Amino acid sequence: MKRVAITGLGLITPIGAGRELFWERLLAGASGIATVSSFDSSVFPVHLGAEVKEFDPTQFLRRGKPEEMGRGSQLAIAAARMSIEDSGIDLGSYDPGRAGVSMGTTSGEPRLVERYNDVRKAEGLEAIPGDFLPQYPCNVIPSHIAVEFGLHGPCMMIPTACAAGNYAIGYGYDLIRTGRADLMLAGGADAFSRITYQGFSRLGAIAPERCQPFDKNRKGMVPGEGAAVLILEPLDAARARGAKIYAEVLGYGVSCDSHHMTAAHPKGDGAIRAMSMALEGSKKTIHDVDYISAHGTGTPTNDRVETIAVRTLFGERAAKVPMSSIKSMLGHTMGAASAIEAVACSLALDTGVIPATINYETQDPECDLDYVPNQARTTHPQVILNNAYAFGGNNASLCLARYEA
Amino acid sequence: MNVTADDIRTEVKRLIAEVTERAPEEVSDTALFQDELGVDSLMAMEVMVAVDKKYKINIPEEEFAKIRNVDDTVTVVQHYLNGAA
Amino acid sequence: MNPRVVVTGVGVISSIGAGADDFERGLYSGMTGVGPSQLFGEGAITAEVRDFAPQNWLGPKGLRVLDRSARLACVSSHMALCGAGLSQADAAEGDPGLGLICGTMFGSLHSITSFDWSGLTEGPNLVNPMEFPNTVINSPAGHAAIKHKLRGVNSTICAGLASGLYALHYAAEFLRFGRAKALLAGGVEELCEESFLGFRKMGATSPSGSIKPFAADRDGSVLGDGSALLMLETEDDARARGLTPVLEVGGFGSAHDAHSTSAFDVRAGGATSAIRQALEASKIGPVDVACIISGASGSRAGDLMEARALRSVFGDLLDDIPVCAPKAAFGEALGASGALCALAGALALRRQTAPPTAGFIGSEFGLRLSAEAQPFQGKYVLIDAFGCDGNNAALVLNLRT
Repeated sequence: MKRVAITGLGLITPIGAGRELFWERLLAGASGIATVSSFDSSVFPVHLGAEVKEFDPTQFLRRGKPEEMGRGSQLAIAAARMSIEDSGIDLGSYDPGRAGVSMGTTSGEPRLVERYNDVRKAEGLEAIPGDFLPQYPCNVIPSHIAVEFGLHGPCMMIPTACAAGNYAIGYGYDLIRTGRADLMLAGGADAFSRITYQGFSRLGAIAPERCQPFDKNRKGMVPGEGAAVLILEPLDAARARGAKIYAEVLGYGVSCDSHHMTAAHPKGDGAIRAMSMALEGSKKTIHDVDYISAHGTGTPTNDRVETIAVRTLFGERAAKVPMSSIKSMLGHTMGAASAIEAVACSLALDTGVIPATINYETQDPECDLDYVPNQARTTHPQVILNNAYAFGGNNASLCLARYEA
Repeated sequence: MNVTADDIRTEVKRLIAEVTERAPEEVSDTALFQDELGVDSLMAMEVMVAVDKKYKINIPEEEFAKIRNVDDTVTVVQHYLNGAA
Repeated sequence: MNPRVVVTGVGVISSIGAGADDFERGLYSGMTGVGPSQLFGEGAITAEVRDFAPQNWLGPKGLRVLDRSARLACVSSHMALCGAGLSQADAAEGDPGLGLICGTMFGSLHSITSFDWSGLTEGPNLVNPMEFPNTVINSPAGHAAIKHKLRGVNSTICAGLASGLYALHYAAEFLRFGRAKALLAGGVEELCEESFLGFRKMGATSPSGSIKPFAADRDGSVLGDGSALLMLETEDDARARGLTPVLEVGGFGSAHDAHSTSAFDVRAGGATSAIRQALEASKIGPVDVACIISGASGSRAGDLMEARALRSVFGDLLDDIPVCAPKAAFGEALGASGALCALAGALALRRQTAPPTAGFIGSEFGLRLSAEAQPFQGKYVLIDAFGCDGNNAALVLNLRT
């Protein structure tokens, strides 16, 4: 099996686009959460969202046309282009049949459904345009990336909701380590949608004022949007071309709670098994892990159960391992979230600094770990677990490590 | 709207029976939703939205925690029906 | 040494039959599931699952919150679990080594559209919260996991028409890596008013209301729905359970045309490459392929593309290899069709007979299709799944002897 390196980071998020700006703002504790602007939120009891502002897809699209694809695909192509540029690779030097795409999403292109219903309401079903359907299925997102960059290798979407980014990076890692591909663009993308907003609002899961993961007074999550794409390649190939190596992918673990569509298993059963499987596959133990990138949505249940899971698996060591949630700044970018968090983990390993959980004020007796409150911290992490949990009881943990040349 | 407590009771039992897939007669006035009837948070919310829709009221989510059985539900619905009137 | 992955159970529900035996009878009788729709009425033609009664398999309780695709997936996973002797119905907790890899294309399209419509027409505060979880694309897989106590990996794979084959390969890899003990893998797709209307609007639906794969007068597809899941295990695990597996999941190939996300690339570069990779991964040559299960569904460009790909890989050998295009029977079931085709391939190998292609009269491309079953002798069957989003996949199944 080959070792797998992360050599390019591209992303577009509510706090900014591109590796450098993202990292600078993330360490500064910037917030991308504001009043929703992409639709009228006055019909909802809550109004916060984490949208990507001032996004101009034409800056990133060379082959594709923005009017011929949904916003999820536009964001994904933007992240992919930034990632390729960041890695310094020359796509022309790869066998295109061995360069592929593995992406994750929660909703794919939900705005096409919104448009369908808007037309249906205003003009009736027969007025539905013929171009609505082909751009809806979520496989178009990786396919658009393949078309844009001329990639002929494996190309798939793993729509495992809010854990999807980790699933997609994991599968990209599998394809590289087994030698089935030489280059994988792996990550996640989701577009801000009134449908997602309506769902979380109806569940009473959206925070009214701010996102405060793990805080005693946390009141919920904040729906967001974004995309991240990581460049994965064999470590030896990356070294041979003198690439900047941000981090190494050591392994990942996935599991299903098989308990409830929306509520986490009360004892964190699946979350524990996903972390264990990730460590086992990575040939690491809890004693090696020195930072956890939490799923940390900010809902009362998620943060409590995630804490229980980490406590159960790590035992006494749990309190010594810093665990922060960057969703406090970015909101919950759905299927993109764990991919964006994997970018943050890569940069933490590369720079030695771990991002904070902002808006943290009051300790919750049920959440008693080190959540890196409010200030980024220099800890020089060596091995990181990146957690992600999703509807359907899906759990995925990705294990990344610092690479010393 | 002229709605009696019995009307509400019948409707709530019908809804609880529907989400828990049992006969309305099997839902007593005092059986605990969560512990005795297996109503989870999502089911409870479904019932509350259906009640809101039926009686054109808006029961705030803070009230959900106070509702443990059919009797509680009837009291809360009546409260908001009167408040709205 | 890479562990071998074998098939130890089958679950299927389709317009031509529910359950492996019924499906096999339907497929080999030459019948078609294309006909009048119960879902849309008024002269609509589909290849949908008719008189669908999930309670026959799942019992009366717990169906209320499941949409059609979740019901289809729950039914086929129930059958495959029972068939493989791995049902967890009596277990207090499910086996954490048991999982599900589910291919789909439109996934929850109807549930997500209805949920949005309800918000638009009744207001966002009066939508049914129970319908929200059904809007995520992985909801059929999630519901099946809860219903059947599947605690292992639970992935949903979307790769257009190639989804089912991608899912089978993904599952086989997970088993080879030792990340699971037994996995259900395949696909599910429901037919809904949105996909039906959308296909008609984009001009992909056959005006004549029939699927004529590779025929000179083919005029489009007829949408179907259903679910097919194969239970996969490593051969060692299957033997340890006392089974004697006969079918192995062989090599897989995939290639993207990087040409368009909504039109077939008739130069057939990706399709050709996918087939070649699948053969190479199986360590066989074109001469070893005894039967081909085609993904052709009557599309003008799609069938042309597949015929060209087959010709460039097999050359003159193609004249002697029996080909079956089973979508003439069960319709274009989108994300489920790759898995339904794989099941047709598995049956063909076991019976050493290619199934008939329903209603077949003639091929424009000289392929050996037939309205009759075609016997053959051989160990390897090739399954094609090529989509107009540019994604192409091919899979080899072989007899384990």
